[in-house]
Amino acid sequence: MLTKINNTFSLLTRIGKNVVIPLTLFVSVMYTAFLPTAAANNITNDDFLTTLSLEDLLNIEVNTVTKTTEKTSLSPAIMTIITAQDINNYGYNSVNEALSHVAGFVDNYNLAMHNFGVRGINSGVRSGSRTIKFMLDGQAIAFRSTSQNFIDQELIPMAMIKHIEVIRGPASALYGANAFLAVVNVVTKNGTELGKNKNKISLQLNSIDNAGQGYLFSTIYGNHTEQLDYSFAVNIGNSDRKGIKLPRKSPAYQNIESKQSNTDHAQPISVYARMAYKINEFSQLKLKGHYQQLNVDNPFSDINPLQLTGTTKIALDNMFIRADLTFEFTEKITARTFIGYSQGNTLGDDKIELGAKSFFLNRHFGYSGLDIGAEIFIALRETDNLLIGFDAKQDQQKIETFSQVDRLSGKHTELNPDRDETLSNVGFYLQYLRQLNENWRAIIGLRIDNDSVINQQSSARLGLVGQLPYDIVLKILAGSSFQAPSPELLYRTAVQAGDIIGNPNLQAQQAKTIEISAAMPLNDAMHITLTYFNTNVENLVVFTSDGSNLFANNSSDSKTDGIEFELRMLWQGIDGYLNYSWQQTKRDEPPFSLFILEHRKTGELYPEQAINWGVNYNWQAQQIKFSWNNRWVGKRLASSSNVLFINQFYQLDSYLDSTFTVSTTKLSLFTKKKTNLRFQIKDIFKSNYVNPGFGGIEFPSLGRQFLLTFEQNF
Amino acid sequence: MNISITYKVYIAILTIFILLLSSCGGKSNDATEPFVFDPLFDQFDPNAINIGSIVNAPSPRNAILLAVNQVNEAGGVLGKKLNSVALLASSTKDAVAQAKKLLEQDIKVISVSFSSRSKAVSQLTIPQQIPLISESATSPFFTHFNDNDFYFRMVPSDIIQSRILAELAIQQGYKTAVTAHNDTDQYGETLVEYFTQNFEQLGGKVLAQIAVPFTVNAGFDLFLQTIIDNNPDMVLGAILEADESANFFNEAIAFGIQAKFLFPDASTGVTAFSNNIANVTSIKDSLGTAPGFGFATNPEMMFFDSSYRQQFNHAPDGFDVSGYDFAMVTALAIEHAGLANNTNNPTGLMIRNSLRAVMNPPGQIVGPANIAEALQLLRDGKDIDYSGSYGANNWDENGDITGEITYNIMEIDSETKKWKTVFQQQISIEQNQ
Repeated sequence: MLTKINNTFSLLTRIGKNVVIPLTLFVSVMYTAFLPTAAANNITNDDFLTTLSLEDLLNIEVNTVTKTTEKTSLSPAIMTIITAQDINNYGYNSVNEALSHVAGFVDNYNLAMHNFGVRGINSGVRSGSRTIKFMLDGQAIAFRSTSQNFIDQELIPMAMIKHIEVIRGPASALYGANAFLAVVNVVTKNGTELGKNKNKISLQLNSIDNAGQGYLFSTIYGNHTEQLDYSFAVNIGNSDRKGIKLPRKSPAYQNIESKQSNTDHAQPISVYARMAYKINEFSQLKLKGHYQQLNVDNPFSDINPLQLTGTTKIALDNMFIRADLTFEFTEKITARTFIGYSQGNTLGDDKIELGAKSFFLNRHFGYSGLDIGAEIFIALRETDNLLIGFDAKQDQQKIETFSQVDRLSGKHTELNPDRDETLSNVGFYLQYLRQLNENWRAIIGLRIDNDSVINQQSSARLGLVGQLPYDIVLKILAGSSFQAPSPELLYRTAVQAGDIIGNPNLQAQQAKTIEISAAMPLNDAMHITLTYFNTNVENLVVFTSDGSNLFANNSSDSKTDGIEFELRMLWQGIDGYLNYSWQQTKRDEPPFSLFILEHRKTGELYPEQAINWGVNYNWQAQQIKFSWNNRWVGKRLASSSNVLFINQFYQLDSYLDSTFTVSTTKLSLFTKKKTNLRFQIKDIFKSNYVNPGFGGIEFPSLGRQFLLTFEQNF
Repeated sequence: MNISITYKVYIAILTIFILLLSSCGGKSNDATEPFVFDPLFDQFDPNAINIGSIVNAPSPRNAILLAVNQVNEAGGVLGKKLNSVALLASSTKDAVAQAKKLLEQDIKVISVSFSSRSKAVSQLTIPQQIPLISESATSPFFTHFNDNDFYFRMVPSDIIQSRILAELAIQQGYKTAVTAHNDTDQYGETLVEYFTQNFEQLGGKVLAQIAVPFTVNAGFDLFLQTIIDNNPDMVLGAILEADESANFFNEAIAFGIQAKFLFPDASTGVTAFSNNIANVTSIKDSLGTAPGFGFATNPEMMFFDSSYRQQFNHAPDGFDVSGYDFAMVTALAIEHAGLANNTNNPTGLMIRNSLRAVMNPPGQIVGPANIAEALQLLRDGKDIDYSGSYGANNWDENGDITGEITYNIMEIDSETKKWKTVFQQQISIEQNQ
């Protein structure tokens, strides 16, 4: 069925992409604006029609910062909330897309995986945003063999998201390893927030100017009874990106035979289910499970890119199941325990192309992990509370091995022997929140981790939040965090040039951050926040090369100072935002180098400045929304990999990526069941921007895209 | 609260800001504009005496930089800082392109890795009278190369290595062999030619010579089939790039080849080879020869080894020590040339004329450990005889080295996956051998 729909769309696009898409836009807008339907009346309120006030937006209740519920504006962290309304207004199609418009986050997408840098630091080649702890309803989702996070459409349908809590800054004092530079917690809707007429099924068709077409099918469903609340979400997509061109700026451009991708499919799958069962008045059981499949061709791989013999493919699955039991002993004492199981593996069609006509390589690696934890929450006074807890994990890691696969016979020949490693960690944490007086609140947090590889790590945080005159909220925060090296960086062995070779002596990276933030309303419709941060990273992990392979090493220290300015505006149906980030990084000289090109004095890959702004107009009378969303990213220094390849420093141009979205609920097919039709043009000005790559190539962007989304409530 | 500035002012400011931003920063040319190649921009120092190096890997570059650093710590040359413009090339084509850029500037001497690359670059340096000194070119071709005496090397001709390989093969009991090298590779072609002569003189038989095009980095089936068809006792793996040589070996094992391998210096002692061996147990009992390490107990070698490890936190690779000696002897020759010609900016010709003067007797024996003293001796008008970390060698009239040469016979340790020396064999090279 889906294939048929996709084929039909492909046919339409072949007939005339430049005619069909604008025509669709025109018909959609005109039809919905001037031909109202009877079904448009009495539509159930949901993300499309919800308009939170500015005060509502600033006071969304969150619990990622302290694991206790509190208002965003007063939480002791530098935080941005992406609401379901934002997602709907700007038509964000994935978590990475939403995140790329947050101050302090810059994506470096290689068309297979998103590699976010945060506040001046990007972890480099194949890092998959590993410096950020991504969580789904509080459960970390990283693929533990590599610590990479799969955060595109293989994560979760966007309609399932209630809001995304984004913390910039260290959070290891509560979350342990890898809550290093930021935490992103995707909070989903429960059955109560879904239910009748709020469940959705949607189909999105996309057409990439520089490549092919694709679809994304999503459904979310939820319901509840007095005792039971459940919801689930499914995403299945397929997009043909064949034809994306290698940027001319690539230092190895002349050496690469094919100048564009010859096969390039992205086929994300995600399934998420959550359930809460009220056992009795005092206790509740929550179950959740998540399965995701990253199945994407990787023609712009840093090893053997754009091979004529075939395309390297990343095919991995990643899942968790988790049970949480909450028990209220008294009004003031609550205990929570959890047990979770995680697993990730390569899929059968994962492959690496070396350029050999007769064979390719299959990778085999993965993990299984068991997590347990318990914590007790004590409300000491009305406004003071204490949290004490522990968590433990044990991971069985299957270290990467390879087999050579004959193209004709399909015969597999194992190249290297199996190797397993067991990694474990136990962490204890304590957090105390105290209201000092009417205006000031303090937090102190401490966590000790005992890791089987990197031994004992301690993390701390201190914070003061003050409510000052003129509704100014001042936050003074300090914290430390650490990142544990992934099994890939510790133990991997190579079978070809370009492979990462593990370094078993790799130490944890440690960050210490100071943040000062002041937030205030300018008037009833505008609110601004100004943040200064200083982050010092010790034992920064960088990749060095022997001319053939990559080695992760703890290198010099890195110091970053920065400013983030955020503005939010809500005025007469216009919902707008603007954020600006500036950072300056200074890296010490690497201790074991004499080569000038190995000293990246101001870091790499991350821009000095970035600006995001967007405006959404809700034409309520006609049930149409228009939005214009923009991302300007300043010049970025090329990767060390490419600098050393071409023997000179250089940088990539700045770019502006603009998305125009129009959506309407006017075209409702069923009474009391909303139909949302959305049309988007991404990269509307065809900037065809380029991201800094590795291994001699730069990463192209997808370029201009047209998306048409049909979403039906039921 | 309500601050007096109106919404309209805010919105006007924002709108202007956004329009300005949209109009001036949105277009990226990276997708369509080619890379502007200027490798000297960050490295060339107009106030220094500049030498160039076009190396195949970071480790010889590091060795050169270490020597340059030590020379500068000793006061530099001719009152100036010695500066190395260090370029990494991945092919002969790259090396030639980089050499053209180097020769656009005042580069006094150039070092180039590999026989094939140094031969190609020498076509540019010889007409410009710029000395080219290779730290790793071992092809016998260069002994009688028509270079107008502007081509020198720090390591011996493969006439010797091919003989040692042949003797080693016979000692291992191999009677038949197939050789594999890169097509049109100066190094591989001559090594295989001399190995075949030596092996057959010792009673062995080379059944086939495989010439793998440089364009084939993986997928060696056709060539591996030749090995299967001939069923030799051993394979001489003389593929030039160490990681591609590892690919060849890995594929050979997967292909079912049972013959043992013998490796010359392109792979032996090179971490890019050992690191990329998929299954280290498969290479057990395979040996290799390497003339790129120097004699382990030579005090100057020990000085280099400890300096290198301290500076870079890992052991040197093959031909790193010869790269180190290149920079040291070049610094001495520059100082000598400047003093002899009363200039602080000697030409390539002047430096070429000084190379043998500092490398060969007569003169006081000097080495890297006392480079400051060596430079001072020159300033004092004394003769010096450079005795390097690689060895106490001299240059003959062909620019080939003479004297004691150390060959490492090595194997890969199955525990550490690193090359280890089984034994060292010293050969004395007389002039014109």
